[in-house]
This record gives sequence, structure tokens and C-alpha cells, in this order.
Amino acid sequence: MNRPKGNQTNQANSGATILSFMDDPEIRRILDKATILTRRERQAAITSEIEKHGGADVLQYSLKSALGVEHLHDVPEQDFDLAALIAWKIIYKLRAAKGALH
Amino acid sequence: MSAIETLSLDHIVHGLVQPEISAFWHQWRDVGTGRPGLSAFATTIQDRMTLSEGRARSGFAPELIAVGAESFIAACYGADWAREVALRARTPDTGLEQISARGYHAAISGEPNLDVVMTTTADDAGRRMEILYERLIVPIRTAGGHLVIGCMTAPLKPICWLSGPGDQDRVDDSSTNNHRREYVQAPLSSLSRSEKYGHSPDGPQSPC
Repeated sequence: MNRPKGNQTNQANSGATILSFMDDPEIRRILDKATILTRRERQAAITSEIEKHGGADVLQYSLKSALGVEHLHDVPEQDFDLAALIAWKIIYKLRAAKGALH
Repeated sequence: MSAIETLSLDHIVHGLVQPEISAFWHQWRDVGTGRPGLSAFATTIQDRMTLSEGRARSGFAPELIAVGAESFIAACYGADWAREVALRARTPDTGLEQISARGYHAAISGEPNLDVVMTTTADDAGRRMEILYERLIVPIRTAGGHLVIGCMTAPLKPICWLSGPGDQDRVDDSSTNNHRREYVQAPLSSLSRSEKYGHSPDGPQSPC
């Protein structure tokens, strides 16, 4: 199992990208979860929520635009925190709109 | 000074728009007959388009979801900004988002919108630029049935990087029509990114 070691590790993995958003409470909550879950668990949670809200193609497009890969399992380890943030942002948008982006 | 001119969609039909706009339009129009939602767009189109939420506050553009790595907006605001856009959700220029909101609201209500936009803006580092571009905004249904807004922007001239934050806008109202006479209908694949979008602000200056 590939278990993250904590926030410092997460910040280091994604560098300035994550550091610059650390004052966002929503992002803090997402990264805090990363300290107690493995990548596989985080991936499973994201996949479940994305499927529940029908956001698979939006996530795929967003990952491709930001990281050049279409699926979470293809995201390099050093980029996974950014990928998870992107995914949870999409999930929060879907939830906020009661399951739709409109 | 900024100006936005809404164009009839007939401009697309008559081939009077940039190749990206035309390709985006034709793929969007064919969505209903092929694969659903975002996957219906070719990779070359996806890489150049942006995706926004299907809702927005009155007077504002919707929040951005993703920005294609090869899009004109990524060239303007930088690769790092584009990569992080899902977290920021906004461009560095709230004023530009406000003046360009109408086209997004048209698309949210179901109507494609074609504009020519002329404005000055600045990236996160405060580097100011003068830009002139065509923009097609369309409503898209994702495979999950959600409404999102797709936008394709195509420059009508290279980005003109201004020398500093104190510069005044050097564009006048007549520029749009003048530049429209200078359209180059080159194939989408024939231009490199730097040729198409202009050099970086740290490189050679583009002609304004």
C-alpha cells in the first residue's frame, strides 16, 4: 500500500501548486483526508462519488487538461494530490448543484 | 478599453471564422448524432477548448472547470494557471469575465454565441497584454446529462505583450474591423503554438 505520510509530504509532492491554495478550507479538508487514507482508498472514494454524480467525462477531461492523463490510476504519484483536488472540486460542484452542473 | 462584437452564426457557415472555431462548431453540431458529451470532441479540439459550469451569477462568467493545455487562454495566462484552473475557478481578470459574461449566459440558456473580443488583460504576474480573438461558446451535455459550457477561442492576431503595469490601452474601437480583414485561414495543424499565439512575454515582442 502506498500510504501518504502527511501534509508535508503531500505539499512536497505537488509543490507550489498545492501550497498556493492551502488557505482554502475546502482544499485543507481534502488534503487532511490524504493523511489517513492510502492512494488506493482515495482513488476508490473519488471514483465512487464521480460515478454517483455522473461526472466521469468531466473528470476525464479535467485530468487530461491539467495532467495529460485521462484516468486517476494513470496519474503519476507526484501529481496525485493535484488530481485528487481537481476531482473533489468537481464532486463538490456536482453536489452543490444537487447532482448536476446546472 | 474593451469591445465585444457579437456575430451571427452565419459567419461560421460561410467560412468567415478561424479554423478552430469552425471545427469546434461542426463537432458540437454533430454531438447529437454520435458519441455523447465531451467524448464527441476530437482531442485536438479538447486541447484547445475550455469547460465551465453550466450556471453563473448574473453579470459574471461561470466558474471554470478545465482549460485545454493548447487553448488561447492558456497561452495568455500561462501553463501553470491553466493546470491549476480547477482549483482557482476564475481567470486573473474579473473585469474581463464580467464584460464577457453575456455570451456565457446565452449558452447557459441554450444558445450558441459567437463573438469577437478585443481587450487588454493581465496574468497573475501582472504582465499586461493586448488580445483580439474570436470566441464560440456552446452548451454541452455531458455523458451524465449535466449541462456544461464549452468555449473555443481563436486569436485574430498574436498576443501583444505590453511593457508594464503602467501602460495605457493602445487599442481603439476601429481595430476589430481592421483585424478582421486580416484573417488567415490556415489549417489548424499548420501553425505552431508560438506562431499562432505570439511569443512569451520573456521572449521576442510580438508586433502590436
